Amino acid sequence: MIKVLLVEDDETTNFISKMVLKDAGVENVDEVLNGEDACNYLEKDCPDFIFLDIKMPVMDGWEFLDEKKAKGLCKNVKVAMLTSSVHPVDKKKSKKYHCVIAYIEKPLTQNKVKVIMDKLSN
Amino acid sequence: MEIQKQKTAEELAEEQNGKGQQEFQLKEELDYYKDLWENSAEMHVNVEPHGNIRNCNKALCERLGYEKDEIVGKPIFFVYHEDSLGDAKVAFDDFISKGIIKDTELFLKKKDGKKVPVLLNVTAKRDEKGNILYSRSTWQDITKLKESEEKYRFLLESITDGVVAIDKEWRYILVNEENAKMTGVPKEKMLNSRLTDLFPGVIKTEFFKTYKKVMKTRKPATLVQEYTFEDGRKGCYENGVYPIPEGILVIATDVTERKKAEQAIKEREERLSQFINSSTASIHLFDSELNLIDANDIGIKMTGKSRKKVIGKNILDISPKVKGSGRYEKHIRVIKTGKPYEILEEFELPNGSKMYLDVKIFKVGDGLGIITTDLTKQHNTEQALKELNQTLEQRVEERTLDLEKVNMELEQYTKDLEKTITERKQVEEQFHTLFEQAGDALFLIGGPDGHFTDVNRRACKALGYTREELLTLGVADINPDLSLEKFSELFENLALHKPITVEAMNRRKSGSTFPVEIRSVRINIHGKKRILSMARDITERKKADQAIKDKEERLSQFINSSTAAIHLFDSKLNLIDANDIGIKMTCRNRKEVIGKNILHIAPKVKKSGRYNSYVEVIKTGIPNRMLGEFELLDGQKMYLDIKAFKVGDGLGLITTNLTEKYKVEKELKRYAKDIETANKELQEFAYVAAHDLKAPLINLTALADMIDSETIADEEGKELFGKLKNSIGQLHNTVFALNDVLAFKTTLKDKKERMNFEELFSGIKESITEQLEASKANIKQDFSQCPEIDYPPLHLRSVMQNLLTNALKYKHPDRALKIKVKTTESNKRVCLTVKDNGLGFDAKKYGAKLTGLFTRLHTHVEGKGVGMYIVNSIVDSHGGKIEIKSKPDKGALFRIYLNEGK
Repeated sequence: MIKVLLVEDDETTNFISKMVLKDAGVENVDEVLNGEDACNYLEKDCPDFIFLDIKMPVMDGWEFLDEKKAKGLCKNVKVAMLTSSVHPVDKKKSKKYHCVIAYIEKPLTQNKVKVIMDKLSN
Repeated sequence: MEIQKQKTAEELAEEQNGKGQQEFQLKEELDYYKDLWENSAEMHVNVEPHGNIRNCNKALCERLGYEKDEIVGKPIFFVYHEDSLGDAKVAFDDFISKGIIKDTELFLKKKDGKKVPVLLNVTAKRDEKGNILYSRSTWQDITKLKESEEKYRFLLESITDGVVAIDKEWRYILVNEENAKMTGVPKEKMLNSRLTDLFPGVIKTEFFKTYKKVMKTRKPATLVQEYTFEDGRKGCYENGVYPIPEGILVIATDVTERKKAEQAIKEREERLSQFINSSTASIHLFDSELNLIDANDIGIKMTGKSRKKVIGKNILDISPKVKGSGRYEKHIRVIKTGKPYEILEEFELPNGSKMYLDVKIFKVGDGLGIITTDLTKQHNTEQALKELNQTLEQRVEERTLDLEKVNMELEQYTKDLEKTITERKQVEEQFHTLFEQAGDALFLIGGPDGHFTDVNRRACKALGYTREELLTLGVADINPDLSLEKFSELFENLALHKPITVEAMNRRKSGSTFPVEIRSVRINIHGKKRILSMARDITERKKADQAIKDKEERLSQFINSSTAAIHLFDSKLNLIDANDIGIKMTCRNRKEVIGKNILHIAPKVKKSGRYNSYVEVIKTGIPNRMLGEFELLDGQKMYLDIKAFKVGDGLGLITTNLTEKYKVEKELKRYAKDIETANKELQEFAYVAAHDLKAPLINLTALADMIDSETIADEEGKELFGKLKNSIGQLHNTVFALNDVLAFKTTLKDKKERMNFEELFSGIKESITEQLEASKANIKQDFSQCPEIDYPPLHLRSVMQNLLTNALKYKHPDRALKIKVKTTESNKRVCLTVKDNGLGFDAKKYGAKLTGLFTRLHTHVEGKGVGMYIVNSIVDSHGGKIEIKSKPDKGALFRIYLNEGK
């Protein structure tokens, strides 16, 4: 059973993501509201996959990725950026992180989940 | 001499041998000579060795006013005047010891006590043993000679020219007071001194060369040259050099003042000309008053204006620097313009002699006057001197012959008398020659009524009278401003031989007047009081002064009418002149700053580096311009444009006050900055608003999609939900379109890269595969004519994608979609053409609207209404443009000119 962590400060977005993942058969979903909480989470437990927002209070998505790498947390976990930013600079930046396998625009849809699942199984 | 003496001795021997035989004949001859002696015009006397008068002739008695018996038997000293008694005693002693006295000047005393100047010649009559029996004395009356000599000397001394005579050993044998004044060496020191010892510096000069030439060739010469004396004084002299038997005669005229005036004009003109050339307002100054030099300088220096163009405007097309044959014709043209002009040059004639010609062209009424002075004329004076000296030489020779011959004595006296008359005549002639040929007008005034007793040629010429006419007139007739009372006072009180100089106006016969400088000296002629007046026409000098004044006035008019501040400094940066605005800028009054150094006037120039740049301008002659904010002495800050340029040796500054202009500019800059800030704030606001709206909107849309409308029970709820979804959709479109526009704005500064159309287009097609398949579009592409372009990647992608998706969106429902895409290039301008057979639209009606923000031409088709706006914004930012051809139902043709081309 795959375990997913949502890192997103907006609860509505998390609700929607959860609904979509549920429909796709992913039921083990946890959520944290910022990068710092995510780090704390990873220190205790490693999920199989993370949906990561960029803009968040306390610690944003990029800072989280840097922190995760610096602390060597959950080295095998894969990440998908889930964001409302369509800025090319952000998309380009995400490619620098090896753990990031997808850059997807909100909202999460069945098709987008399917693409990620395909990539993961490869 | 030796040969002559021997000859005389032989003759004497012969005579003694034949004495006895020819005694009778001798007695007859003796009677004849006695009569000749008694009735001679010359004064003869015999004195015995103890000093008493043995005998005398009639002429002596008559001249002194005595009867013969009043004199005979008296001591010889009785007839001498007290003034020469000492000399007479010395002469008598000489006679006793040597038996001969030659050419001794003494004074006899008349019975009435008056003096008679005489020349004494004595030989001794001796017995067989050689004892002196009595003297044979002759007194020549030299009163008239003395007077003539005195007259000549006074003329020599009072003439304004320096006169010297130099012998072949370069010794001064004649020097007048004026020359002593010129050279600064006392007359006594000069006389008998060598020129080369007194003025060693002269050897290398043109003067000396000329002197040497005249000495050698015996031909007169004239030259004008500057000379620096041993004591450092400088002067310019016009020298007339004439050969005389002893050596040369030099008549020197000080022309320093004339040269200075010329130099001043030149400097003024140069300064004005330079000044005008560096001024942008110079054309206005010359429209009405243009002279040759200004015109030429402008013609030469001003760029963009040909010489011919200047000629056409100003008449004057001549450069004064042009030498050669065309010069005089050009001068004639100058006459027509009425502008003052002056040249001074030395001309060498084909025979090698140099002539100095002084050509002055000056304003006279509406025309110009030309004065050409040939200064070689003065050589006439030399002729008289030459003749005189020949005579003198001859006389000396003859005197040596007759002295030893007793029986030739009387003949000799007669000869001497003739010589004296000739001599007197020569001196008189000499006086007249000098008087006649003098460069100044000379008047000899006979009394307190001012009547002329003599005038020279120059005087007649200057006043337009004949000599005869002038001799009937007096000073009051030619000098309208002079009162006779004043003149007679002057006549009575003028000290002997002390000249006075005044400036006055002289009136010609024609009634016109001209300025003169009059030098008057009192002299005595034949014991009578006379005034010798020398009048020099100073019209030229006045004209030169006037020309300078005119120039200065013109310059100052220009300076004062300028709206810029103008300062003129000398080479040491002392302020020479400034206009009113320039004075105001110093924060002090005119008196406080004129003549003061720039460091005193504006101490801050040193610190700001301007002082050094001014010094540099003077040094190099390269103009300099400074623009910036400067602080005045009173602390006021001004924004100034300072132009510095060389003027003569000094510096000119033209300062324009740009403070007001600068203030406005500053204000504008501030506004621009404010607007920029406001714009940025607005943009940020729009970005934040659009972005922050986007996140909840995404959720809103997703949530709405999740609600299955079928689960809503009642119809009314279904309808409301439908409308809610529709509104969410519209909101979604608008917010996303806004985000697209903002996203584009951030890419405006993106760098260009080499882009391949084919590659890019394939990529775009791949990204919209689904849409392409759905539309079943037939796309033909041809990028062969222009395969590449330098463009920001995002921009080119956006343009091509928008055009392609537009064509897909607006396909015609009734026919299969065909799209043709191609690129062309013309003059480096790249054009992307996209043609479709879709719905089309009225391009004439809606073409302009197409590129507006949030405008859509087809309501039934989904679109954000920003695509063409972004395309237009992109090509616009690259200097390109969009052309659209379309008709409703007929498809559309888009020509996108991507760049500006050449």
